Amino acid sequence: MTDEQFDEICRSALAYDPGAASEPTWSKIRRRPRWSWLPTIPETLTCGLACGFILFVFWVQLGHKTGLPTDSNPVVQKAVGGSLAGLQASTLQVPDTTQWTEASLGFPRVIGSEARKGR
Amino acid sequence: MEIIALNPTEVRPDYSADLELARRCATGDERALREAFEAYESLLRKLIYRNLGSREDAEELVATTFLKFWKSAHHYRGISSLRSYLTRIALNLCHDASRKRRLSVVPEPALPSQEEHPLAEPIRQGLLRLDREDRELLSLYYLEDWDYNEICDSLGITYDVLRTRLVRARKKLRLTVEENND
Repeated sequence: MTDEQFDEICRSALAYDPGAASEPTWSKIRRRPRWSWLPTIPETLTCGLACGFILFVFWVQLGHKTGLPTDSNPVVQKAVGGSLAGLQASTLQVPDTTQWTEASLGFPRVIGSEARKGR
Repeated sequence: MEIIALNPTEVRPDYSADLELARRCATGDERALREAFEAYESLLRKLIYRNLGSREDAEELVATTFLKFWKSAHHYRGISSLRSYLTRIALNLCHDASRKRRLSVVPEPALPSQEEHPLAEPIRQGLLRLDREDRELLSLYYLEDWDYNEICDSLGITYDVLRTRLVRARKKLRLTVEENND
């Protein structure tokens, strides 16, 4: 038997008419896609982990910006006898007053100030 | 054995119609899925049946193939035909099914036919006894008059590998058939 004859027999032996498209199969397919938009469990877990990580990074960054200073001041430390345990840090910002003058603050002119300046 | 005349430089056809159908499926268009189902269901059922030997499994896996396609239609790029793409999904499912159920493929009894060649049944049995790779290749080669590029696309192999495997698989099938027939 030649290869061509063998191929021909194989083709006819394996020919199989499955008939028309199966409606029960189609209804199985139709029923399921309604739920196919739902994410799978691995997709949900991956998304959750990614969101958790982003929130964690954001939270850490935010903590650094608003956190109280932790460096101890040696002068204060010396004044209180070495321990700062009882002290509370304050975030109150004291404005820089070195640039302020009487004129810039709008104070009334002090009598005799010119004379003092002239001496 | 005869060397098959393939033409690897053949210009690939335009798959824009397939791409459009897949795009419609990806948007959730049920009519598009129905079109694909009507066009390729019988091919897939035939192919799965020849690879697993069970009509029930074939119907179940055809449904799963289309469901997988429904979910992954946006991945189809139109590089190969939609037929090859679906075939690839179906063959992967066949592989998974036979591995999970530890199926050594058990063929269903053939329908009696008076005009059949005496080697027809040994050929069907022999095909199911071949290795997975050889069985997939020969089922595509004998079941459909496929373009060789499509067989390559469906199996994810190159033209050279296809040529080598085809010669080897045909030889194996012939040996199996002749042994069983003696």
